[in-house]
Formats: sequence, structure tokens, C-alpha cells
Amino acid sequence: MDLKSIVRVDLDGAGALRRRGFLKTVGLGMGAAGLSFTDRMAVHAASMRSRHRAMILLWMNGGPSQFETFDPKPEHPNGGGTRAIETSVPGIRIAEGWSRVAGVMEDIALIRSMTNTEGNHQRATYQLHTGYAPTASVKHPSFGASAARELADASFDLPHLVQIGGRGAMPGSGAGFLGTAFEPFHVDDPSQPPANAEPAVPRDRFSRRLGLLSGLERAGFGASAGADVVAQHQELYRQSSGMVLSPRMEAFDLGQEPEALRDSYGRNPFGQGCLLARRLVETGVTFVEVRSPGNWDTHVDQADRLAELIPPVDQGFAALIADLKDRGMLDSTLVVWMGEFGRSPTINPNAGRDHFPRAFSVALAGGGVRGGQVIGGTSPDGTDIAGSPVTVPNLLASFCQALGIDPTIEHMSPIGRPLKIADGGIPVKELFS
Amino acid sequence: MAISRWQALGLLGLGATALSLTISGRLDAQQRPRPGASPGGRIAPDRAEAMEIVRALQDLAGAVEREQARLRAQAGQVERPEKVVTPPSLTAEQLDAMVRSALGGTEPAPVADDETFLRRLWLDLVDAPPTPEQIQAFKADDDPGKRARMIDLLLDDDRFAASRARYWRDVIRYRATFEQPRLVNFPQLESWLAEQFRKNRPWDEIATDLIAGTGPTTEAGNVSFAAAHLDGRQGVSAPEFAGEVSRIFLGVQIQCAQCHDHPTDPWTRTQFHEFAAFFAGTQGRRVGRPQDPDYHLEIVSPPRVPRYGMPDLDDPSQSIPVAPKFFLDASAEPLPAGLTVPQRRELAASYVTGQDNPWFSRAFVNRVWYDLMGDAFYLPIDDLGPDRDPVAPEVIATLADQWQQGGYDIRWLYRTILNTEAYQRQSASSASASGRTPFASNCPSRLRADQIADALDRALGLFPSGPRRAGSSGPQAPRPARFGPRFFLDQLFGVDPSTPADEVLGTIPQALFLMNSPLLERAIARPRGTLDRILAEHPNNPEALEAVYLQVLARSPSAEEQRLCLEYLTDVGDRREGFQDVMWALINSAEFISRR
Repeated sequence: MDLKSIVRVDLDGAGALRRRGFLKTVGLGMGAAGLSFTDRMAVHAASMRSRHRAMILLWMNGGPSQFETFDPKPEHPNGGGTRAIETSVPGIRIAEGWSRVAGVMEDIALIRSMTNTEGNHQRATYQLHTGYAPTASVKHPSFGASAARELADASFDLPHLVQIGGRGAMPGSGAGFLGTAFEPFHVDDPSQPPANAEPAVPRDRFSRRLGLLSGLERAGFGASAGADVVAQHQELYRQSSGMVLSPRMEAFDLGQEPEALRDSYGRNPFGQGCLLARRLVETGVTFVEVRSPGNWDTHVDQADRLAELIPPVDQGFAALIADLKDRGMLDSTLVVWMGEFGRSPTINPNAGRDHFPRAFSVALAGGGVRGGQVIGGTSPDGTDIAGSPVTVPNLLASFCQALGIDPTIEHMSPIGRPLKIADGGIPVKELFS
Repeated sequence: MAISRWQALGLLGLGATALSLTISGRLDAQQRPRPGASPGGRIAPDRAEAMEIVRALQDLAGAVEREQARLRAQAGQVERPEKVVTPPSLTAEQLDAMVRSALGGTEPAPVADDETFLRRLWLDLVDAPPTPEQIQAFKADDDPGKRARMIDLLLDDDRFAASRARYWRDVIRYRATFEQPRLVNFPQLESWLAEQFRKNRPWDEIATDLIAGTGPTTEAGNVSFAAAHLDGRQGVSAPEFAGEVSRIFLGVQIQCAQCHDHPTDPWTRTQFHEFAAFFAGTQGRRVGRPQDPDYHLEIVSPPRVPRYGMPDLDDPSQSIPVAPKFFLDASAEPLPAGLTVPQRRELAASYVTGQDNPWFSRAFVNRVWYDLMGDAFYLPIDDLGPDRDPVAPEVIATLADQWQQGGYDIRWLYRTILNTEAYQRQSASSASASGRTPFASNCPSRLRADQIADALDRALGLFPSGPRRAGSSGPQAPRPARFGPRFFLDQLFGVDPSTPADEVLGTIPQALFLMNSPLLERAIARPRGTLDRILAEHPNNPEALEAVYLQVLARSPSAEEQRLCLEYLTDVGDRREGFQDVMWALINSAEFISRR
């Protein structure tokens, strides 16, 4: 019996024993019985580190049209006149404008049979990020936060999750009830150093200040009523100042990349965001979300809008896959392109498309996903999926499989209700076969 | 008002047949359509017609009110006890005696000194720490009744109302499921709440307006609560709204029973949906177009019988009809059939706030106690029952009952708790017995975003316009700047007030901001800023240090702290640079962002 398979289920990334996981393990036999708790923790941590699993989510805010991306219908009026182009994989055709992505199709799996019922931006954004519909009683963790909780090394001195671009918090993209250790760190502009990450005074003076702070805290509040509060606070300051002074902060500096490579990603916020994502994953960050700066909510004059929206994403997405592959990182890094829903088959009177969650597309690459394939499809008019329906929980369960996470792992919410990472979803097995 | 002149005239017929009824004071205050509100003068081609329209609208308002009264009278067929107010007799001394006997022999912490008391009280009641001058004056005052006087002074301060308004706005805002804050209009909710707290309106009246209110979100801030749970275009989500009404006002987490019978409490799935049925049919109408500056929502209770059903677990495509029933109402009598949307909501408000229901007062008392003591009878503070065992059960029972019988007088509750020794004790850590025993000491807790903003402003003069003025969130106040430093600090430090304290941890971006923000560094080093003024005024280092501590932490330094700082200043050499570092260290300390 493989030892790792025994220890994998019962311990989380921080080494805490999980009630249900433990019960599951007990039945597996005596293989693990000879190991002390600490041993099992160590084995677990080592197996996790060796894999360096990570995920990069390319988020198309607003809901990208499947007809103008990965499920064109050139033969049908609903296709809106968008032509289809050949890709590097014979038989797979995608919408015009995506020529660079077409060139790396052998690494991409398309799901054309995503199906959902939520057509409201905020609610669907929350659902696609967490796997759950929003509810007042529980703030669900984002998938990224759940993944980081399973995969991240607690001693890593940068944040486990980083979001690049987009304006402020997006529904469902935070740590939810998993707490601040799994809150994403936000970077507005990938070409600039992150806000407040550099000391406002010279480094020696910064270190001197930290020393004074620590001494005063020990002598004052920490010596009396504030002992507990100060202990937590000092831990936070240890982490934060550790990050500020960490050599790994260089990962945020795109200036260290060759000009030619920076050019290949596209000299725009999305392209440079993709490059930053690769650098962050390379240094050990578990989950990076790169948000398309444009809004894909193309209700009006979609042709004009898409002419601006597509090129930077086409270039950044393709360059990211090629670069990860060059560096041998693609197998351990799952890259996902998606938005909160798709767009309506009929073109509205404003020459745009409206919200459509019933049938839409998602693209995946890396993380053990077999590229060069299409899963599911839609009817000729695009109004319905034709076979192999993939729900949001199934999609998230597939992310789990790509990252080596058990999708049935449960997190205990503050009100004592256990919640599965992927809400009962089942991985799409064709992705990995 | 989105109503045509002809509709208005036609509807007048309604009023002619309406019954004349007296309505109890608590129901009408916020529900009454404002006579002639927004008649829209721009639609009238001449004055005579304009007057006609105004008259028609006034009549319509009257007709609507009479119609509402008629509906309420029908709902009144459901027998509900009258509110009876018995002035509470419980004193702070009696409350202290009860707390002491609940400590089970643990020696409580001593009463805190004036500096600690004053900072705690100011932060608790008006969100800001006291100024050095106020601290000195208070310490110099030798009137033994000075603490009670200060309590009364601050409870009457408009900033107390503003502080409470922000707190309850956040209680609602952080769990909003309709994520279009502009339409929910939280600034208007805050203004409305501030006005209610300023008038010291009883909590049952405030709750009733929040639970049953109707009107445009631009005028009646109370309706933002329902608007916060709009479900796309389908109106207010009855299950979400019901869950929040129960959680916020009763501390009962019945929403856990939405999908299956409650795992730990006795509630069944049917009981949850029976409660949700009270809120079925509440509409949220969008008024105007999204690009209009006055685009807003109007919460409407259409006077018709709504349908409500819960999904059949055996066949999710089927819905089982559910009639409203309050889960704490023990009577076997079913409610009359045919209750309309407004009747149902009014009735729900009456059940929730009624004096025959102990949870309404307990939930509020538990929250206030937690906010003032840093520890609560029930934790988490919004999960009370029915089967939880509280800490010091006789204390919460007596205090909540007295408050309920006294008619839910909010300032009485605050005044009574604040005057206890229990509130005024030193805080303690878990290293001491009094720190481990609930209510044997005060318990340090983290400041809320608004308090941190005011504390930073007090320490550094951060906002050029000065701190938030008294009553600034009143109806005339300008809308809060969306991208000013306060907005930013709220984004950075804001926390759901219902979150258990042990889950409220600092974040890395918060620490990065306090450590490295150029905004703060500039304020520390600003020529002729707060620090430069202190240094100019006090050429002597120990005195300057005393002034810096008072300014930033609202207390004097201990001998050990003074020694460390003076030593540091000597090491650095440059006086101004050294003091900047001290100021930086104090602002980055745990104490600065804690209430102690």
C-alpha cells in the first residue's frame, strides 16, 4: 500500500487533523498505524512540496461570449457572422481573433458543455469562484483559498494567493471563513511593485523601527492585558515584515524578465499580469488570478468591443502556456480561462449578446489535463448543450483533480456545517484520460 | 413616483371606501407615503394642472394610507399582545452584584484608571479616542461622579448615534446577498439609523421599520435591509431575508434549516419555510434607468396574497405550498388564510419584536454587552438559541427582561452597563484568572475600521478636514466620499461585526499599510505636523514623549517604556528622526488598534 495515499486524506496543509478525514483513514489498515502524528505530518508536507501544484485563473469579467471565443457557429445565424479558424489540432476550430491560442491548442482542453442557471453577474461570479451560490449564513472560501489551504507550505513567506488587475474585491474571490492566512494579496498594476510592500524609510531604519516596536510591545501592552493580542500581532508583523524583506519579493519585479519575453506576453496589463502570474507560481505562490481588465459584458456593439478585448487575452494566454511549457511547469500548473457565464445565442437589437448561463465554454491547460480535446458541445443553434453536461461543482472538482486535491474534503464552516470544496461535484474524467 | 396622473385620479376611488381607523403610533411613522412627494413638476405644462396633480397625489397618499390601515386591521384579527412599558428598576450596582455572584469565586480585575476608562468609553461610544486636552481635564476633575457624567454626555452626543448607525449598517451590509451596493443604498440606511438612534427610538420600533418597511431606498433608509436581499429580478428573496431577520434580531440561526432539518437545533425545514413565508411577495422595483443619477429601488409590499412554497426534497421540480407560522409561537391555531404581503410582514415584525418573545431582547443585549465588555453571554453573538447554554444565565435573563419590559430603551441599556464596575474594570489577558473568567475583567478587542480611521486622524491629523463631525451622518450630510481615505480604510480594515473575535485577525495588507504607507509616513514627518508641534512645544525629551503617548495611545508611558524610548532616542541621535520612529512604533503597535 502506498503510504502517501494513506496520509494524504487526513491532514491539511497546516498539519491539522480533520475529523472526517481521520475516520476515513482509520479504515485503511495498519500501514499508517506505526507512524506517529508528527511523522505523518512530515511525510505529507514533503509529498506536497515535491509537487509544487499551482493554479492560474484567467478571469474574463462580465461573461465572455462562447460564440466569439471557443464555440463559434459560423454556419448558423446565431453565430453572428463570426468565422471559425483552424487550430494546431485538426478538427478543433475556434473563433477568429484567437490565432495565438489556436497555435497552442494541443495543450488546451475545451469544455463546450458548461451549464448553469445563474445569470446575475455578482451571484454567478461568486458561484464560479466558490462553487456555491451566495448565502447570508456562510461566506464560502474561493476555490483558490481552499486549494491553498490544501497545498500551500505554511513557511512560505509570500501570500499564498495573488490577484492581479480588476477593481477591488470580486464576489467570492476571498478566503471566506478560512480566515486571513488565505486572503488574496491584490496587485493593481503588474508593472508596478505592489502597494506598501517597500519600506517608506531606508531598510536599516525599517529594521531598527521593528526592533523598537517589538521592545515596546513586550514592555507595555504585551506585558499585561494585551499579552494574547500582542502575540498575534507580532506574528502578523513577523509575516508581513518577512514578506517585505523577503528575497522572493523579486518575483513581483517584471523588470528582471528579458525584454523579448515581456514583449511576447504583450505589453498590456493582461499580458504582463500573465507573466507576473508565472513568476509568482515559479517562486511558490499557489493560486494566481489574472483579471482581464476589459469588461466582457458585451450587451452593445459586441464586434467593436471584442476587437479590443480579444487580442491581449489571446496573446497573454498563449504566451503563458508556451512559457510554462518551456520551463517544465505546465504539468504542475493548471491554467483556466473562464468568466461567470456565456452569452445568448440571439444577437439583441443593440448588436450585442445578453447573459446566458445554460451553455458556455471554459478552457483548461496544464495540471495533467490532456490538451487538444473538446469536451461536450452545443446544439447547432447554440441554445443547448449537446451531451456531457459539466456543472460548476463538476468543474471545480476537476480543478481539484488537476491539483491533486480530494474534492470531497470538507471544511468546517463557523456555524458547524461541513462544506465540501466542490459541493459534491465529480471530476470530468475525460479531461485526464 | 412612477405613477401617471390618470392612474392617480383613478386610484382615488379606493380611498372613498376605505375605513377610517386609528393606527398605533409604532406602525405609521416610517410607512406613511410623504404627501406630494416627488410630484415631478417638470411634467406639468401649467400651474393649474400642476396643482391638480399635487392634490391628486396627496389624495392618493391618503388613500394608500387608509388602504394600508384597512389591511393592517385585517391582520389585526391575529391577536397580538399590546406593548406594555414598565420602567426598569435594575441599577448598575444590582447588575454588578449579579455579575460578581456569577464569577464563581474568581477575584475580578480592579477598576481601571481614568486614562484607560476614558479611552475605552470614547472609542465605545463615539468611535474616536479622546484628545490629550480631554484626558488631562478628566484626570484633573475630582468629582466622584465624573465617570457617570461623561457617560451621559457621550450618550447624548450625536456621534454616539452615528457610531451605532455605522455598526448596524455593517451588521446588515456584510451579509447582503444582493451585491449591488449602489441600489441597496447603504449611506441612506446609515443616515436613517443615525436619526433613529439620535431620537433614542426603542429598538422594537427600529426593527419593525427594518423588517416591514416599504418605500424608495433614496428616501426611507430602513428599506435597504430588504433591498440587501433582493434576488435578481424576482423581488426580495424570502428565505435569505427571513434568515437574516432571525439571525440579526433574534440570534436564532434558523436559516440552517433551509435545506434540511437543523443539525443541532430543534428547528425543522418546514419551520424555516413557514417563517420565510411571512416575507414572500415583497417586491423590489427599479425606478429609472441604470445610467440615471437617481436610479434606485423601491421596496413594495403589494396588497395581495402571495404564494410561497418549499422545494420537495423527493422531487425538486415540485414545490410544497407553505403557510406562514412563527417558529416560536407555541399556539396550535393556524393563522387566517389570505394574509397579504404587507399583513404578513407587519405580523412577522410583531412576532419578532413582541414582548412575548425573549430572544429579541436577548440578541440585542448580548451584542451590546459583547461590544462593551469584549466578551458575551452567547458566542458567536448571533447564535443564541434556543438550546445554547449562556455564560452567567441569570445576568442576561434579568438584564434582557428588564430592558424588554422597559420598552427597549437603548440608552438605558448602555447607561446601566457602562456604569457598572464590570465595564470599568481593567482588561486582562488569558494569563490571569480574571482574564480567563468571563466578565471578571474587560477583554481587549480589535477596533473597527471607523475607530481606526479616527484614531489615525487623532494621532497624525490624517484628514485635512478633521475628524467626522457630530451628526455628520444626519439627513443633510453629504454622501460619503467614495474614494477618500475613509473609504479606503473601510475597505482595508472593515470586518463583519458579527464575526467571532477569535476569527478577526489582522491581515498582511493592513500591516503593510501601517508599516509602509507613504500617506502615514508623510503625516508622521510632515513639517509643522502633529509630531513637529509636540517637539517644538516640549524641548525636553521625557515631556515630549509623554505628549506623544497621550496623542497616539491616550495614556502616559510607563517607566520601562520611557527608558526604552529615551535610550532609543540617544542611540539614533537625531531627535526628530528618533521621535518619528517612536511615533511609527506606537502606530504599529497592537495597542493602537485595540480597545483595552
